[in-house]
Amino acid sequence: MIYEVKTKEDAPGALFVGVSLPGFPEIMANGGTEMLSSLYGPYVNADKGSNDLSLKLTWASLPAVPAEREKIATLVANIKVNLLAAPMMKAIQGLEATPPKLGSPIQIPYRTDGYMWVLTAPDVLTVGFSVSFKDPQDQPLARIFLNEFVASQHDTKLAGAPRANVFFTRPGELAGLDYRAEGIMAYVFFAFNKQRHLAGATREKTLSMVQTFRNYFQYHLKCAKAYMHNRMRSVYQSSVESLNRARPETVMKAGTRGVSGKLLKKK
Amino acid sequence: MAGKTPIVIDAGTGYTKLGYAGNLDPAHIIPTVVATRDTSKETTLRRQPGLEDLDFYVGDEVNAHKTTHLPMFPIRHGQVEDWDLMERFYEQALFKYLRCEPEEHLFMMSEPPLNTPENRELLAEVMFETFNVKGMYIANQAVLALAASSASNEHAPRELTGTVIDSGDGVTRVIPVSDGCVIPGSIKSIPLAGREITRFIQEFQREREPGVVPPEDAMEVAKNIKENQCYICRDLVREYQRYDAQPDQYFMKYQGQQNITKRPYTLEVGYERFLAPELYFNPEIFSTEYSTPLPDVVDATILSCPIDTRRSLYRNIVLSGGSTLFRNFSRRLQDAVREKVDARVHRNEELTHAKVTPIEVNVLAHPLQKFAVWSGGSILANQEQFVRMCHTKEQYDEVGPSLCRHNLTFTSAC
Ligand SMILES: Nc1ncnc2c1ncn2[C@@H]1O[C@H](COP(=O)(O)OP(=O)(O)OP(=O)(O)O)[C@@H](O)[C@H]1O
Ligand SMILES: [Mg+2]
Repeated sequence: MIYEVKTKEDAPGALFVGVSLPGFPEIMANGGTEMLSSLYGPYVNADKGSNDLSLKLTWASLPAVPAEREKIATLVANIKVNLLAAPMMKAIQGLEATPPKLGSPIQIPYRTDGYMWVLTAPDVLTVGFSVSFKDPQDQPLARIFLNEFVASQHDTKLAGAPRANVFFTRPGELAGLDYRAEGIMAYVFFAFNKQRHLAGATREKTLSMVQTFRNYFQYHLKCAKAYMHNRMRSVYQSSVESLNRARPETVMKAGTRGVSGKLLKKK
Repeated sequence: MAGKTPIVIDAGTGYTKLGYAGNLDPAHIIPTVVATRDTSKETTLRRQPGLEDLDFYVGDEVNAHKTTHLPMFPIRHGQVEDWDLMERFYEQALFKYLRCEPEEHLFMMSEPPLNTPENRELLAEVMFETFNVKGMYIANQAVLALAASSASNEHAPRELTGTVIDSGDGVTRVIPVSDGCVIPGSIKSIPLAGREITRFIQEFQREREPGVVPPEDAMEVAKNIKENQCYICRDLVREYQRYDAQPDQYFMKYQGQQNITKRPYTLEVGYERFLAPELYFNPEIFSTEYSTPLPDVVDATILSCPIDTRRSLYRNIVLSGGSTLFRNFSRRLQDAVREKVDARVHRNEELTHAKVTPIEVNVLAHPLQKFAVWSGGSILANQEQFVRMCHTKEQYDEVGPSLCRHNLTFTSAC
């Protein structure tokens, strides 16, 4: 995701916010267009330059009330969240329609090495992510993590949380889809219940939280690594200390040379 | 430019500056502090099993968790002292503040002058092994500050030669740089900087109007006064006279509000407006151990450098760091250094009866001064050549941490 925020000489009083992200065409095809026109309609700039999308805010078009302006700033800042949520919104609309319309799986290559999938089943929205790690040392750690992640769901404290499923092989749901499977070590699917997670005010929260999954996962993994490094360092430190203690003390004999190179005299 | 924008990190004693290359200002400025669970209170608190590795706070969040977590400062006097804490600090800095994917970015890290190669290795270990960064370059803070000055000021010379005065929170350093290389033997440091100035103002307030400022805010109030109302005067005695003659013109008021009760209070701000920054020119007011004023240190530093660099070092004296922002700082320093140099030249002429070409002395203030180190990093990391100068993850896997002991030098800022 790359932002480009700039002003132009030939357009005084205007601020341009350019946005580029992988998977943009797919998002547009799956609800992105509708989302843009309903939320960002007046700000979309036709001349998008080298970006996927450009927003143009002119001083004159902004409301005078500071609180309203703030709202627009937040709206613009949330462009990424809203873009990625657009396919999910579309799927939810399908679920809520009477009779429910269940679309085919949507695939968004939202990163160069990662995919997001949006699937629907009656009353359930499933959002899936691919997990891949380049570093060979990270892979086993990630595997342990994911297993823990599944196991922790049996905890009663987390009863209200959405179900998460982890697959280490290609799951059946993605059968008909075409994507690069090499490098993907796991698939994580979150299942959201229509009533419990997608109704009213919780919906927005759910949709933006699920997007932070990847970041959080990476963060937690790095923290765990750092924690292990800490432990290793302190173990190393204490073994060095005990080794030093175990070393027999060398007694300075008369006639040997001291630190400064002088001969030590016998007292 | 190919690939993602490099990330620039300047970790300082007081604040760490984080951001993406190409910008003029850092995206985040967070206090360099990490709070971990205070183990002495362990028995009274219920521990959450399994999450010890996430149980810490950094930066501004620390204040809210003072009761359960112990704040600790990983950097002392510019040097990283505790790498365990620093590693944790970077975790949050990268994932919570910058929200980046370290594997995809190049990193420009700053290091203090006279950093040890071992410290570079440790930094490399943290960055490459914990975060798997794509590539990293370690640059000296002084060189970055020079780059910022040279890029933002059309009067400054293009090549990276000059004397950097870096005064942040912990120490003030005078660092001569020649063609992008620091002259290590000549670096001089003064153990007084921003923190001492704040403490001085705090004490001044306490003595004059005891009990007005709530003790928990005293530090914050002093800092605000320092940053907004202090300046450097031409002449101490004259300034005192001026204040006494027209007190209502020079004495200022500071309006504060207590945090909890919201009770407003008013403070008088007087002599400390010009006395506090006097730290640099009359350090004996502040410290009994250290009494050499900054202009003398600058002069001595340059005189200890190789003779062929001295003229260009005098010509380009560059300010960097938050504590050099006082009004008139550059003018007073320039006058003082010039006076010393001229006196010496004059005496030389008297003794030898030969004509000496006058020595040009320039102290440059520049618009990027406050975050000079970071901005310089941002400028250099945005250059085409930066990609080539980085040590990459592949090289690291091949060679190990010793790879980062040496880094190539930039020779020009543009
Ligand atoms: N406008 C200002 N006037 C005076 N002092 C200021 C101003 N703004 C910031 N400071 C002071 O500058 C200091 C922070 O500077 P800086 O961020 O350069 O230090 P640092 O890099 O954290 O420390 P160091 O370089 O010593 O490791 C603080 O003490 C702060 O109070
Ligand atoms: Mg600094």
